[in-house]
Amino acid sequence: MGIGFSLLIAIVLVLVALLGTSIGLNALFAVVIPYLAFSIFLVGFIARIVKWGRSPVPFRIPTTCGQQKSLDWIKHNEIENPSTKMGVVGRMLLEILCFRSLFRNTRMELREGNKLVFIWEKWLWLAGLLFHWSFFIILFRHLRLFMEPVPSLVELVTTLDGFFGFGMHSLFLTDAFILVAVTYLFIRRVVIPHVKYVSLPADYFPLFLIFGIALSGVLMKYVYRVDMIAVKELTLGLVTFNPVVPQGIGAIFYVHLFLVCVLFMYFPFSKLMHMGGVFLSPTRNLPNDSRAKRHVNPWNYPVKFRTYEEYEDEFRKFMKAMGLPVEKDDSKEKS
Amino acid sequence: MYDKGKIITGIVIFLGLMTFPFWMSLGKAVNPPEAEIAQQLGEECIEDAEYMRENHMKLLNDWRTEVVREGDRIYVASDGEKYEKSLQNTCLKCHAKGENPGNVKLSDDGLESKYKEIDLNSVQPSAEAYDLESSDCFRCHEYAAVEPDCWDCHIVD
Ligand code: HEM
Repeated sequence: MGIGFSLLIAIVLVLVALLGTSIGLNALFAVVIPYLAFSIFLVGFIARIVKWGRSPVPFRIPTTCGQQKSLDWIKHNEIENPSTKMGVVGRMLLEILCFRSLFRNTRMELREGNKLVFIWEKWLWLAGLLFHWSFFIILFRHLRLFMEPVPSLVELVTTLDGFFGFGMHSLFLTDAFILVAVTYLFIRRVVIPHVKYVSLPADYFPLFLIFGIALSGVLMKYVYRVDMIAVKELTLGLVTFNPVVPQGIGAIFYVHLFLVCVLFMYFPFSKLMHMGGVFLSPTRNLPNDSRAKRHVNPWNYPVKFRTYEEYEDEFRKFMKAMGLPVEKDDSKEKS
Repeated sequence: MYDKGKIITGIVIFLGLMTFPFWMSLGKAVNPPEAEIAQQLGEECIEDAEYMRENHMKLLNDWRTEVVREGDRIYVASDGEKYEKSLQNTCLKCHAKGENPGNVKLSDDGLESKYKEIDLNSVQPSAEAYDLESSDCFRCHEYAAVEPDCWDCHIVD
């Protein structure tokens, strides 16, 4: 049900863009919605980060995968179990650039009746890594639409990515990777029963949306060509706050752009916020130094308390009268 | 907020990266390039402008295949007009300044005959060779940041 519902929404979004541009609402789709989407993205993203920043992290969570720093003769793993800030930087870089944690992914199965086995499983990591890096590189290449002159690094990346070609066209490797990887990530969700069981529309919808964006982009580049000079006039108009709506850009462009806008608007409210969240993972971004340093619970406030001595001083007389033991017996002291 | 310094630094970096193109184009106004050289000549392109803007790369790719693999050098445009499938002899005639550097002369009528007479050794670049840097192709491709690889084979230097 979740799958059908998400797919339906994605299809409706495509139809909305097609319909909107066919009845001449180009300015809406080329200017108003992009500005709106980008604003929602920025404000929503920051609000979400600030909200997370308000949550206290009371202590270190040592979900480590290496030997903690201890005695000199015990070999310490500074990256998997960092004791210093530099070590944490290393662990975070591995996590963000290489998906270190996902690399640990295993498949768990019951074999021969009741034997629990863990199986080597790197496909999720591989597809995840390919997908995210392709997405990033594609987005980075898109800077050529938003900058004039185009930075040479963008041109270099474009040349490298488009190294393979067919005929006179370059075939971007990242285009192929993103389509294959997203397809794999979707199939994995549907085919593995317990992954399907925990999958919600919020998991399927981003996959469909991103697949739609990549597919419309690929179609635009390789099949239904659009006037790129007009596209760049539009995109430069947006970044210079001089919006123009050039005539004669094909509908496929508006489909692509609208899906991108929906992605940006949806971003702060969805699981896609892991883009910011990964930096705030307490199990990854804190050195495991609980034994070396005292970390005071940040929500501790000064409590008005009373010591036992004060209590006994007040009630000693009565306690003795009742025959209760006291720690300080002043009558004895006197005698 | 906890770890205020770090969170605010993070947010500032995020904002900076996301709005980078906006900062870079502050106060800049860029006029999109036009096919100026051809327009000054007042020539119509072989197909209508919109089709050419969107599909010239496909057309050239098809030409390449047809010429190199099938030896078919004549393009019949949608209005029935015939053109030679050639960058130097057709496209650049209008889209670049300067002379055709190869002494490939178009005969008035028969388009096909001339190829038999070309002596490759005599094809010398001349001083007035097409100025590619200022050609319509280059200016537009520079703007779109797409590097045409025509000149990997068509050496005109
Ligand atoms: C989440 C963001 C985006 C993703 C994942 C994405 C993805 C893609 C992909 C995979 C392609 C195929 C060709 C290539 O890889 O260059 C493409 C092409 C294209 N995209 Fe995007 N895109 C995004 C945002 C945008 C935006 C914001 C615009 C413009 C406002 C845009 C305009 C275009 C255009 C004009 C093409 C055709 C390029 C060509 O023909 O060479 N895209 N996009």
